[in-house]
Amino acid sequence: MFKILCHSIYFHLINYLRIKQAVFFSLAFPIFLFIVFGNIWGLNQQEYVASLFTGVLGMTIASDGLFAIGPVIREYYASGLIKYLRKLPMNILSYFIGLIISRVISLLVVLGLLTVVSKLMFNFTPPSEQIINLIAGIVIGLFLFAFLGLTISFSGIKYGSEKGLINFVFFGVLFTSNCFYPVGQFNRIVGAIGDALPLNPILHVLRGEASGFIIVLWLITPIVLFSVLFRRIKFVR
Amino acid sequence: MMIILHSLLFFLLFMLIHEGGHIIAAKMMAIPIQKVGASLKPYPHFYVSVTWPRSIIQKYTYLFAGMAISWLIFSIVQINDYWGIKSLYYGLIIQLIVEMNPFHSDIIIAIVTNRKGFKKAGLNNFESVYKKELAAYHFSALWYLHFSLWMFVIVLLLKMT
Amino acid sequence: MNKILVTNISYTVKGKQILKDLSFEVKQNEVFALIGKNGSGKSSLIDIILQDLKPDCGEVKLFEKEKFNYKNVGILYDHLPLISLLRVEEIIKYYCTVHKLKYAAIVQHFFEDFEISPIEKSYIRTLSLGEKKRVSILLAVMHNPDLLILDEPFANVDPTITNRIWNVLKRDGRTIFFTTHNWADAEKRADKVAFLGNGQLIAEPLRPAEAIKNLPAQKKLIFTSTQEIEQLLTKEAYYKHDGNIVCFSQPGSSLIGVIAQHTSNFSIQDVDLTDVYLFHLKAESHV
Repeated sequence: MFKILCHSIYFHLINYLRIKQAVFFSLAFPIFLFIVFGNIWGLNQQEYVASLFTGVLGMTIASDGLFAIGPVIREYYASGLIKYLRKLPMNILSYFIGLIISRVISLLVVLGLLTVVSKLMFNFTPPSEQIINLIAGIVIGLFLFAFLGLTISFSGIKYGSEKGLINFVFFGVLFTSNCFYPVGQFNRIVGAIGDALPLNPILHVLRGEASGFIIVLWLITPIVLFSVLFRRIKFVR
Repeated sequence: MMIILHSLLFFLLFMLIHEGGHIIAAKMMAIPIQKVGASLKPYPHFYVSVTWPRSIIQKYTYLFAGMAISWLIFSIVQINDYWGIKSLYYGLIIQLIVEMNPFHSDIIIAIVTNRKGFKKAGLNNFESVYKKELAAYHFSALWYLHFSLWMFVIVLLLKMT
Repeated sequence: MNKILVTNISYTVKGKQILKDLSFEVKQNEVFALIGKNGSGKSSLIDIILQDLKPDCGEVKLFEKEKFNYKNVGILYDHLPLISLLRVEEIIKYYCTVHKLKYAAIVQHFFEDFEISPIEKSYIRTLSLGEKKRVSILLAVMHNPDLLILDEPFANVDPTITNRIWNVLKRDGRTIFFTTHNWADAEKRADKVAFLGNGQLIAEPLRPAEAIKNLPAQKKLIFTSTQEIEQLLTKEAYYKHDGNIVCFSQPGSSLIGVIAQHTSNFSIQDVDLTDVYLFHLKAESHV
């Protein structure tokens, strides 16, 4: 079981590393945004850099969770690959847990890269006591957004259209969040919407702040919805 | 709010001047101009379309003329401390960042049309060969170098402000 | 012992009956070919046998059990178990881990017959369809299963290596159930053939030679179908296909002379499995 899990992680990692676009958007692009925004507003403002650090990480967690898990699993169903996986003498969960762990590894690499760049460019590194918050934020956030992505992917909308909907959800969540600046200070309503959506609670976890009940709600709802939708999935020829 | 509006207007002006650079270069080298227009894809921009230049020197002179004009203006603005007009500086910075981007710019055209696959195919099926070579170039090692340099220039320009 | 037992299976999709009251069995060590045209329901039947689709009624037993695991089954669906960005060796190695096998042993036992070595390091996306099929068949058989269920296994595979691959598949008297629309392949490889048409088995599963022997004659006369000629065929068994009449003719029959009076454009051939299928499928309306 453990050997299969390890091989599954490796399997998904090499597959992911060969999708050049995915590597750019999950590794290089967050660093790029961190450098640009940090240079615009963060010079000599350690507080902003600290906030941007977790903001960029939060954005990457949301995009990885939404785009790299749900649509991928849906693709396995659409291509029929899932039928082979279900017939192999292994627990199919180990295959998909491998997928999730490979994404966690990718996010830990982003965290490492952000730390290095942050130290070199802005002379800022997150305090050691925040490391647990950052790792917890990565795991909880990925879990939450993965189930959100799965729920959208399996919501019964036409295959191929779900990516448009996930894009809409991602940018909606991102632009109302406090990833790059405190939105609530500019517009209270947008700020309130952002607080009700799942990214701000994840940012609270990453920043070591209290995140309230809303995170629990966002953790439970997609799982329940997905389990209901998943039971309804049928193969039809 | 006004500074944003003014910056965007200056940006529009510099975009037109950039295209003017291409037109001047084409006229000087007697390259026939086919069309001057605007396109929304992949992002809103103006363009000058010419018949494919005969020599490599002509090609690169034509392609980089727009950028040369922008950098010339940037030097003049910089020397004169942008006459105190911040929006002028911002508009120019946006223009420089846009025209050097690693996704769709004159630099990209220069690099992609210099690739082996493109040279081999010649000018037959220009669009499809260009698309194929562009896809091969995107996210390659050379592209990451381009991307890093672009990021470096952005940081440099932002630090100058 | 039955390796596969299908009893009274019916399957409907959006009001269209795909399979109708289908029953057959595949015995141990048997190579069973299910023949049918594209869209005849072969792949749906495989999905039902492998419990990916639920039939409207009927039951399927594998290894004489209603609930079974697939540890001893090698499977090839009508789509392949491959991921385009991975290399051939990476996929085989993953399957080795899952089946607890040594990669070196797979190389030794299968690579030569399946001609995998030249493509071992290649990315799946760069392979031809035939090469992809070879890799997929290898993945189905590498854990040495008792039963193979294969959907169109040799479509697009280079005919020069199919013999070698078949020998590997049949090794140790393995039971094989495969679908095909390649009649010659079925005739050559299968111990028993069944024909699927209009969602039903159109004849009892038989040995290919037996099925051919059961036809009205061992020679056939093919000529362009006209009403005038058709009226002459009062006693003969025949069927119409693609604008032609295929008429079964005994040696020394006077039919050739009669036909020759009406047309010079006819041919005489030996009957084969195609005739078994088409005769049974179209017999009702034309004999």
